[in-house]
Amino acid sequence: MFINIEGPDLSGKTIIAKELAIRLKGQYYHEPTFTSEKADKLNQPGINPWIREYYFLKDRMKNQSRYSIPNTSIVLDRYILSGLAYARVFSPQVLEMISSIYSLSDFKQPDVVFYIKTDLSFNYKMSQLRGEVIDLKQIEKLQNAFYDSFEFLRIKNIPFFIVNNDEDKLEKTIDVIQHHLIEIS
Amino acid sequence: MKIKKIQNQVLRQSKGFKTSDLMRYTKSSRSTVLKALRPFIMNGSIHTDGYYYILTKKPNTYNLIEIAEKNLLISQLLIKNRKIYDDYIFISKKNDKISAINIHTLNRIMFREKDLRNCLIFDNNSQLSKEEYKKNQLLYNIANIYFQHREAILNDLQ
Repeated sequence: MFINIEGPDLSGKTIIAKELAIRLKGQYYHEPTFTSEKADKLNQPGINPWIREYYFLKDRMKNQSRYSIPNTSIVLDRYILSGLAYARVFSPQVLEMISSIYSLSDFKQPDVVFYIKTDLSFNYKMSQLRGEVIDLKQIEKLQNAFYDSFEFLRIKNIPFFIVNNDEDKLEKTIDVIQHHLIEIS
Repeated sequence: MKIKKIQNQVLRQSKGFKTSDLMRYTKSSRSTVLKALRPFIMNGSIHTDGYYYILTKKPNTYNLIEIAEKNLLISQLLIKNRKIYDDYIFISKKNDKISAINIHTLNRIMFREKDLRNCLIFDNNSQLSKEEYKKNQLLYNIANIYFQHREAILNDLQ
């Protein structure tokens, strides 16, 4: 099964995705495969939107084959939904084009998507723990952009779940995801 | 005068052309032909490492026509001449293999930065044979989507 974990920065999705992959004895992957420093640079104002998308799409295309391993649970940290949500915030000009590309039947679609929902206070605490600077307004924009992007999943008939990730309740969050997985399988 | 003649010859072409043909038709030197082609290039020449061709749409004929040599961008030439631009699929030829087609050229239209001049998406597949390319439906579909958005892309880059 191809499982996609989504959410804005510092929502805990990476820890959740890694833990889920361990529980399912599956394979964990993260997108983009280039460094977060490079991704941050691409998300700066002033970057040409087409060039920004070029890098993300190129990276996404390179990884397509690894999401089709039979009898293996693939847990992917960020994918199409992130692509759409971040494009809404950082390069809206390209949104229509990348929506068309992601809609292509040959483009590998996830079997299920889990969106990790957090309060902004959670993201802030995570940033404090990691010593990272966080722009809460931007996180809020991204949260809204993710919600706007759910339409894509509805059109493609991809099941998706919004899962709360509260402080100190990581295990519970993963339990909820596993419960949903059992439900749909 | 000779340059104007070459340029008119270029605009009359409906099936692509060879620089050598232009030299012969107009009794011009190679440097004159390339000079005449220069106005078709939007931002001056960009170095490319292959030869560029137009592939006519005739099924199964793959009528490769050399259009330009190094430092001449077919895509930029064709932007100025939408009639041709819309009627052809573009490919480039390198090491006797056909590579990257539409998207390869589109990449050159869209991204001027040096490190982005190679294939847009398929760095690892930049040398596809005709058969390989035909099999790669996703590449073909993405190329078509980029084509549909070329106006917006060009507007943002100008």
